Amino acid sequence: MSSVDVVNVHKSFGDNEVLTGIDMQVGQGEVVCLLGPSGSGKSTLLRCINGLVMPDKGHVAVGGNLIGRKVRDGKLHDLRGREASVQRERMGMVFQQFNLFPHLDVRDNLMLGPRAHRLAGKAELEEKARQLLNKVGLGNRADAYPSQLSGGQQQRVAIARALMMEPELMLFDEPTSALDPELVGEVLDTMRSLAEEGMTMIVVTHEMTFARGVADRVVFMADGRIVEDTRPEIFFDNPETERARSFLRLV
Amino acid sequence: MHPSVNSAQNPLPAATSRLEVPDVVAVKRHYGRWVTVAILVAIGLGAVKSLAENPQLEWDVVAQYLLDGLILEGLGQTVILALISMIAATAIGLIFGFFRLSSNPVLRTVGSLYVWVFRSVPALIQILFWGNLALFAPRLGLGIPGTGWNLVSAPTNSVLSPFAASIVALALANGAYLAEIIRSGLLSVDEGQHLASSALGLTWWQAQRKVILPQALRVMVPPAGNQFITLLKETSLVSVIAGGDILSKAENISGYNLRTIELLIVAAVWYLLVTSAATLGQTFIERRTSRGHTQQRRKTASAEPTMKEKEVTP
Repeated sequence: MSSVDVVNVHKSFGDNEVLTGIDMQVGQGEVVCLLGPSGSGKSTLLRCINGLVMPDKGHVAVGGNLIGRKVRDGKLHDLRGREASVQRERMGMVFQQFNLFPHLDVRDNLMLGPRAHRLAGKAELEEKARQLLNKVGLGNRADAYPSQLSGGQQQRVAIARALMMEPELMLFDEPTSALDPELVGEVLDTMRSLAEEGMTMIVVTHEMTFARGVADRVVFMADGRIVEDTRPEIFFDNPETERARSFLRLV
Repeated sequence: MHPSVNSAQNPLPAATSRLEVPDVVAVKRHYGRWVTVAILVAIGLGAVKSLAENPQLEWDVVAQYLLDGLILEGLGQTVILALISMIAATAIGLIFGFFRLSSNPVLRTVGSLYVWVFRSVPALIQILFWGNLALFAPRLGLGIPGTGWNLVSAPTNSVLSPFAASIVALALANGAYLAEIIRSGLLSVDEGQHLASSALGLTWWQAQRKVILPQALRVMVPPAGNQFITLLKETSLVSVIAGGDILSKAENISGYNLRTIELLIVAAVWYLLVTSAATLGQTFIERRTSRGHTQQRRKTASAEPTMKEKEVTP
């Protein structure tokens, strides 16, 4: 299901037009970095892809399934709560502010999603949580509460939490923007190894080195539209538009 | 302006001119506090003495009725009334608290109307209203209004005893406050928690139950405990419809032995004890619900367990 097809997506919040006709495709196993100045609509686009935000016009399909809506009598109808929830199961999302559950320890943070969906038995999920925590280098912190972890550790737990659902697509919304500079590396390393394993990833980021080194494609957005959509070496070394050139001069 | 003594131009004075400073810090003597305590103790002793020696107050009567069968029966009724009303008020508050936060304008309006009416009308009036319902609604039943069709119907006074009327009144009056307490608790949870729950594919109800409510509880418990203590004392109002609570019993007894003040003291002593117990309970629940916020609860896990786990499954 991991190929993403975004078609003519428009979204406004009140009078504020955030997305003005976005078209974008992401193939299976591809890593796409969404770059652009703040307010360009990157996060909103990401939220449209997993149905946290519903487009006013246009649609998003993931793996051939329309996200958040269904067609009936030639019109789009919003999915009911449970149907929409089931769709989000297979898309992992990582937030700028981590958004771990502060009242649960690390293990229970990982187990909450799969337990709610009864994906597997408790013992099996505990084993899986252990493996994923080892993978993100936090095998010894399963009993810790989020408040006892550094920002970088919290974000790695958040990545493990998303991976517990066995997603076929991972969405990252500025995963390192809230981190102290010396903690950025550990999170980017985790993301890099995920990319090497062939995970389909869409990453909103300001980490240009990561985009250049890891992304298969760079999508540059400004003022609610896509300005450039190209390979990273072309975007960084030889951008086509003046908008991209002025952005790159400033970062 | 004079240049500062410590400025770069003026090097520090030689060590010989340093201040002679002792190491010992003097213990502070709070003479004012001792004087205040002495005055307060004098006032307190005076009050106790005048109460104890007052010929109009017979303390053996207070002692005699403190464990009187009727009083203890009333005490039990008061506690049961408070507990049932609190549980019902919490259930009502939960429903209307969610209504007030709903994206559905109909539910929001219903929630606001309920809180507006039941928080605005004094509890005493609400109790009198439910206690005297039979005066204008002699029969209660289920049916379709205007059609005359009734599924079940019974005389109001047989359905709504003074005790039942007390519960209905107290639950509805306190439900309005609890709806507001629950609403503010739900609002205190960060928006990111809703996003993270949705992104994990939790349904609305799963998210509320597993993520939002447990965190809201921490904020809700102190004001809800406060509300319970208010409710405990508010149960005394049901004595106006002979609700069978401890104050009703105390008034019944003083009605024939005319020891009004003594029996009020008996009731007051019991309210004091029950409220103290409730306060202890609140402290206990507050500790339980602050998980993840008090870091010392579980010590930081050491690296050792992982080493052992790795040995078991290489």
